[in-house]
Amino acid sequence: MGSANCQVKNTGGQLRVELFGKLNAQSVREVTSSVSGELKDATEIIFVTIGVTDCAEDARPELVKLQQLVAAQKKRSAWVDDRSQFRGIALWVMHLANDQAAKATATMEQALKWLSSTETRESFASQRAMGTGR
Amino acid sequence: MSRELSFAERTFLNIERKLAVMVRGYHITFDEELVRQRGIMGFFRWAAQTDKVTNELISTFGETRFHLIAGFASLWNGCDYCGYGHLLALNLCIYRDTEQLFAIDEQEVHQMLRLRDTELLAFLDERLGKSHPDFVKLIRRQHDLRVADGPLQGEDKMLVKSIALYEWINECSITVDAPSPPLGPVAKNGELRKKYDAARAEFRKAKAAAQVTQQHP
Repeated sequence: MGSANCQVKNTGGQLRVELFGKLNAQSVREVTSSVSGELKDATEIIFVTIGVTDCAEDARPELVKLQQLVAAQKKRSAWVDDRSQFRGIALWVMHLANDQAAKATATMEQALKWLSSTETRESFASQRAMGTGR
Repeated sequence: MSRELSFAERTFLNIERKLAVMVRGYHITFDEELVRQRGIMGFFRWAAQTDKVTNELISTFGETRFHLIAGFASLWNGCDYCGYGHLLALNLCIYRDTEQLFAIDEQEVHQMLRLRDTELLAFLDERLGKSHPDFVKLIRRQHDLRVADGPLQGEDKMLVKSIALYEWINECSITVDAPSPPLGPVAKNGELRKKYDAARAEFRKAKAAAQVTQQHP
């Protein structure tokens, strides 16, 4: 299931959304449409952007809307990419979507670890920085 | 997506920015997002807490290595603003101490952001392997600690702290873009900045000329 720029797969409640190619506003709206139908049956979401080659400026507010949809359903999510640029875009998206249950990670292992935890992004970071967290 | 600041908050920011320039030599532009998210009192709490951790890191690593690890901690998170600002501060510290240009120009931040993590580590090996092998070792360790758990030794605990600190700071700094000022006390040294900028501009000019010659011999 999916659109020209994504594949969506639900495995035991974990929704894996793989994005690829050039993202623009229209293609992200199509991704959102594909994801929204699957969200209620999912417990958590992993967005994989490793195959994305470009993310146009007009795609970014649409990604925020996608993340807001995830946050509204109180689903935990992780964005995986081994490029800093796309982790930065993911962080921007989740920050503007005001979703503290989302995190940008470099590896799938980190993503799974995040999804299995109950931490919120900023308090997790601040506690570890101040030496009061794990 | 984001609320407008109140009159009091805008007034506060105007004053805070002027004071920051007087005291630190620069002001951060994501202060607006910090105030939007936390309010004025929350901004002060955030500043006091992040300053405390920053000072611990400077005590451990020294000013120059602090900027190195702060810059790369930010780069791993995709924050060009802090990556640029700390890399510029690192360049200034090295130029102040050695009168030599560091092998990585702060303007290369965007190029580094586009690389895959393994490519970025290889880029560091290539650029710094001979001149600063200790820097490469430190950044590789920071990267490894960022992506996997394992036993901590030596400076690891403080490297983990650097990763956490910039995950915290980049939460708001991700909303603004490079270029940024040198993000450290070295920003106050205007004379150094002038000399560095002139030397760096000369280097960039020579590099561009060499590339043109290579393409059109």
